[in-house]
Amino acid sequence: MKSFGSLFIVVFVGITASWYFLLVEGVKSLNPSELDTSLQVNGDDVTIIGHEGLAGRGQKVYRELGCVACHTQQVRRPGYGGDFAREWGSRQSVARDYVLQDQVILGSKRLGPDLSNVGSRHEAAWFFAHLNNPSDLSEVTNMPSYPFLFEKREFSGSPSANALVLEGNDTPAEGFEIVPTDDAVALVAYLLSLNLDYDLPESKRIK
Amino acid sequence: MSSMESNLTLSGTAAIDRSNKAPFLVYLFSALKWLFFASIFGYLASWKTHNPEFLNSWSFLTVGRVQAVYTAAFVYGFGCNIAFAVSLWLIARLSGTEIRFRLVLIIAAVFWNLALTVGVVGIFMGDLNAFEFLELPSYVGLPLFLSSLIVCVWGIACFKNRSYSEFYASQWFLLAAFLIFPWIQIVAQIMLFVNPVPGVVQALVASWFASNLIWLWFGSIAVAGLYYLIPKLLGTNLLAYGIARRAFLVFVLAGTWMGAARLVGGPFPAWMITSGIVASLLMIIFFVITGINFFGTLWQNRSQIVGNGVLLFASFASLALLISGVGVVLLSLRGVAEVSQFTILLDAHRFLIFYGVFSMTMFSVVYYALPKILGREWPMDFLVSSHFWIAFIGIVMLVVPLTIGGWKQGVAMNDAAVPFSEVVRFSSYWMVARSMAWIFLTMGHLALILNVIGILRPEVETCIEDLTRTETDAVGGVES
Repeated sequence: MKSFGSLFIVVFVGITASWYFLLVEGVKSLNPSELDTSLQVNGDDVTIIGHEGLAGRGQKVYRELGCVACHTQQVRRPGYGGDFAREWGSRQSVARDYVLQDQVILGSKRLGPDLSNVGSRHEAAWFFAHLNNPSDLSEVTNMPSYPFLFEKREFSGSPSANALVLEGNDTPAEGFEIVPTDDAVALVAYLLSLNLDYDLPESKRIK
Repeated sequence: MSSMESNLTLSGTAAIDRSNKAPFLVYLFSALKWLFFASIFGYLASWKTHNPEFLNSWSFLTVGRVQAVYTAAFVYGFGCNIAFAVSLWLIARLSGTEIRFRLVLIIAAVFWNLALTVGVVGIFMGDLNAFEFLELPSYVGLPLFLSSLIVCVWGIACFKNRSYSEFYASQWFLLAAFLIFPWIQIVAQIMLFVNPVPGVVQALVASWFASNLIWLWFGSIAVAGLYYLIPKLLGTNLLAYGIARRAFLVFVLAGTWMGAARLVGGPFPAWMITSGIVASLLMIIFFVITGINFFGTLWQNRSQIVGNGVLLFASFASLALLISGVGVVLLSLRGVAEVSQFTILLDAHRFLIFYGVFSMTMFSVVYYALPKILGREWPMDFLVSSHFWIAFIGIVMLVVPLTIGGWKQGVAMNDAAVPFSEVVRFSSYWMVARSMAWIFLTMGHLALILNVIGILRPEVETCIEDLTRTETDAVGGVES
């Protein structure tokens, strides 16, 4: 390095080239905004998940709680890692799957399982019970419970439809019930929407 | 290099060091405050990974938020503040020029730390983003960018006013850092938050940013510090200073591309991942040359290291740079990444770079520079080497178990015959080691903070004396 001028040029070329060829060209080559989000594959109508309405609010809750610290949302291709063998998905996730998301939450750590298709694995009641107390459902887990996603309230007559069915020490006192908050309802709607149960031209399910 | 740098006239250097006192102290103070905060949250974030029910009744202390707070405090609070302090001191010293308009730097420090505080409160409230190293809410992006831009422009301006024609390796790396840090921030803010790019390109932008933040910003400043300190303290020339330029070229031209390698297996075209892998492999040149220059030179003069606290820190950082270089190359390979991806092994590697290389270098510079700036020795000299050995234990206790445990975690996770609960159960054991390590790291940080308080005490006393004297003078109507 002889002068500031030559250093400036080298640094400028280094950082700008990686920015341009990786990120700007990346947008062009992945071309996300041009990808069809409703299409026909093998005669079936396919619509990409957009997480609208309640599920959209749930995605915000997911982001705000920081679930990404332990969960990914990407299925690697068959033969690369154990994603298929663990039944975390029946096809690889591809760019089109994420097109409609405001903030793409791929994640980079799997202290818990991948959630790309978690909506296909469980029912709403399971998610509520799991968020309320994960160790009720799995003997060994490092997932915390989220007590603030639920509230205890008094009821008269019959309990609410979405009240948790609890046993043992968790059972609330007579006349009380544990119900999910609005955030929990939205979050579970979002988790239920995570389900890549359709084929795409570039990624077909493996039966 | 060393011969030229030590030719600076003592009085000139001392004057420059003194002129730098206020900004250095302000940034150092902020860095230590955040380091203390990050130590608590680093411990808490680690503890929560194997003890999930701990403090989980409040929404502001979820694992995800605590981890984001810890990252923000550690990386932007401690890391950037100490990087500002050290880089400005170094550039002024190497350029033989006083930094001018220092008040602006202090205002920038206030804004940086205010914005960061607002950002951390924002994370507690739930305004966090889902990208690594970009968890801070987007509304503090602009103030953070502007404050760091001031520091970077001031650094470059100081260099432009230099009194020496020599252009040292330390300066190349410092200037590269000053040029790149604002650039990557503005790209990330615009492409992710102001006008978000659609779909998975977001993950690509975040990965590009994270890699460049770690290597081209923190890494550059660490390398600059080592290029300065090692020949200076050993009083000898570096073994391969003549080819340092090649290492720099590779660092800037290839190092900027490494980010994509992390996304292997994800929804991206193969060429992007390959570009990251090729860049990581090219970085071998950088790691070999800096390895010879730092570690080789130190090894040749190893008799001098024992008992010299500053050199101990610098030696550890040099070794850590070599090891993390091996990590960069291995972890980028598709076959290795198949196992290591998504595991705690990547935490170990990131920590080794950020703490083992960067932070250890910064500690070494602070231990060297502060006595020079204040014209006073460390009051508790033994705490310097104590800090080193405690940090040494802490780093080994964190990196080794997470590396072994992470690899086992990856192997088990890829083997569907092992139930996931089993993977969770045994990974937790390895993560306990990280919590233990944080206790050691925190003790080290307290040793540093204690020493800094000690060395600053006379300063504060003089300050108070000055203030009281002025008051008495004012009463007597005599202007001082």
